[in-house]
Amino acid sequence: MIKKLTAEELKALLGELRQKFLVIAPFRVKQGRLTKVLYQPVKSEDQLSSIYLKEQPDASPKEYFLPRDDRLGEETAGADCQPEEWSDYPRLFLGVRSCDIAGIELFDDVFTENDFVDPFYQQRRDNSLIIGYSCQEPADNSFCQEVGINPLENENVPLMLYDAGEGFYLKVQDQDVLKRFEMLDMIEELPEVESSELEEIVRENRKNFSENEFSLERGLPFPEKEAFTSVDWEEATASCLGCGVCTFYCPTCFCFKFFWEEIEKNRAWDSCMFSLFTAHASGHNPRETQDQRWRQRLLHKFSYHPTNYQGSPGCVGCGRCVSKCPVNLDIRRVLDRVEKTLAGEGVKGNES
Amino acid sequence: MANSYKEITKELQEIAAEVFAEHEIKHLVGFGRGEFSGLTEPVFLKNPEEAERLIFQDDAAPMLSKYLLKYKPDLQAVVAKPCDSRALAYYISEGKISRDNLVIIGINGCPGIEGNTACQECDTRNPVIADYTVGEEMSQQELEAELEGVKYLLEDMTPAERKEHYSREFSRCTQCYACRDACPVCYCDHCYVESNQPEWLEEGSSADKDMIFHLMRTMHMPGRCVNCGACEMACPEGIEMRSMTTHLYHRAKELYNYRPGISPEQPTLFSDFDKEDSEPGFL
Repeated sequence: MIKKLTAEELKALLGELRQKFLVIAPFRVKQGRLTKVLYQPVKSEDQLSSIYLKEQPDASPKEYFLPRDDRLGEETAGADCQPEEWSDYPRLFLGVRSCDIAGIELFDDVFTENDFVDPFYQQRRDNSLIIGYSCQEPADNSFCQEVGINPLENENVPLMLYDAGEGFYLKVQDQDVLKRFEMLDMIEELPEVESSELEEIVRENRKNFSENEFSLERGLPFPEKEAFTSVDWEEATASCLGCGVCTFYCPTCFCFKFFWEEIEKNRAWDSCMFSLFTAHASGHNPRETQDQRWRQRLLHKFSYHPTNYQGSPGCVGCGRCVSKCPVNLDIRRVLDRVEKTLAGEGVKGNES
Repeated sequence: MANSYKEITKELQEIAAEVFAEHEIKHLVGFGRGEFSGLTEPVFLKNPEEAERLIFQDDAAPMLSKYLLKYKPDLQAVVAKPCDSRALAYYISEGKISRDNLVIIGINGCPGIEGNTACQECDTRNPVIADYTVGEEMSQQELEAELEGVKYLLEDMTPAERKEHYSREFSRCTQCYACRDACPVCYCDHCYVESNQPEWLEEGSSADKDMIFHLMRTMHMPGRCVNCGACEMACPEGIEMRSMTTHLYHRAKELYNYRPGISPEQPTLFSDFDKEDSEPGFL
């Protein structure tokens, strides 16, 4: 089912949805010398006109699912402590691109896996409805297609929004979810169009995604032992300063640390790029140097994660780690080095 | 006059070949263009054939001096912006690195870095130490003319206004530590934020804790910060990082006529006190 709506109609729809949801959408925000695009809650009707979908947001909506500071309840409450402090008010995320949708799917794999369900994550996830957004052109330094992500279409969200220049198309992909959130009627009221109209737009936009200069030749996962030992990691990552920017901005990096504030347990973002991440109480640190930390970050995404999750990559190719890095250290260059080294060593590539 | 990026790039490539011919260096640290990103990034050149990879552009923000500490005591060559040369002079004055282990290619008449507010108040446009230089020197007269009437960041604010500004700016901090890692004089092997016995900085990222991190970092900066702006350029949250450190820099300059890293022989601010020194406090 494909619906067509003007910018005004989209605004009206969002206004109506605000009655049911906390709408979270990308806005342009000035931060010191930077102008960024960030997901922020829509606090008033007027703000709907300032929603900015044209560029890839500077950060994925990660912090809405795994907050930087996550209070997990008081220790004395015992093992059954529920995440009672938060509101279960439903949230609607507007304009999430394929890369960031894939990032959330990766969290689903990790945090709602079989017997290891994280109730804090799950509650936030169950309360969230995502409206995807079709990219019109590649973001700076992105390589999503190289990790198997389609920037133009995404089947894994109930609704997908397409910018048609003059107005928008809304593709309904999962009516059950819309029913659960009691919003199917609202969508069904909109005028329906033939799918060929939308297909034409997607075909046009696809032309903007020409062949990437960078390509991943090898299937995933990378062979762990060979990559671990044969690559000159120091040479490939010499310029790394050791900050946590790449991991904090990564839509898939989820590592955290626990700490207590008096009797309250907290979890906060951590980063494998920090030396303290692996420091033992004895003083020994199994990852003593920065290149070893880089090796961990890259192999987690391209070897360990795909090994544990049916070949699915731990990187969504959004390019933020490259754009945000203070020294512009490019993960594509390091991947290229790994692939070339592995090819030279004659390690057999897995079928992709 | 400031030199053009193009001219500097051309001269750098010529001189790099000379440096490789004249010195047995481990590598030459400079700026190159990212293979896929096209962005300027630090490169470590191993042989003269790579000389043509060297560039200098308005986004060459990182301080290369920082890398030299990682590979000391090997003989290394480095492309040094004037602020980088001051960081190097400061390292030498502290005995952090030996002058004999450095081949410095200094950039004269530095045209500055796009978006770096430190460049607007820069008082060092030629390298303070160098073995080779590229570009025309900028005259003292010209430098003074450019600085005429330039105010440093928050210069006219009262301490109360400044405090409010700091609270607002630093509330965006995510504790990624990019500022610390980009800073040429934040070189401690074991930073206090990585210490958990004792835990100087408590876990968690509330506005208070973020502020403690920045205040503690700033406490280590008087008499050491060369006012290069690398911290601010590295910050992904666009925090006006220099608003604290530049104040210390200019206070030390006014009160003690002291500028860090102005020569390798200069004693450090805190090792060169006099009982007649004024002590008005820093804020």
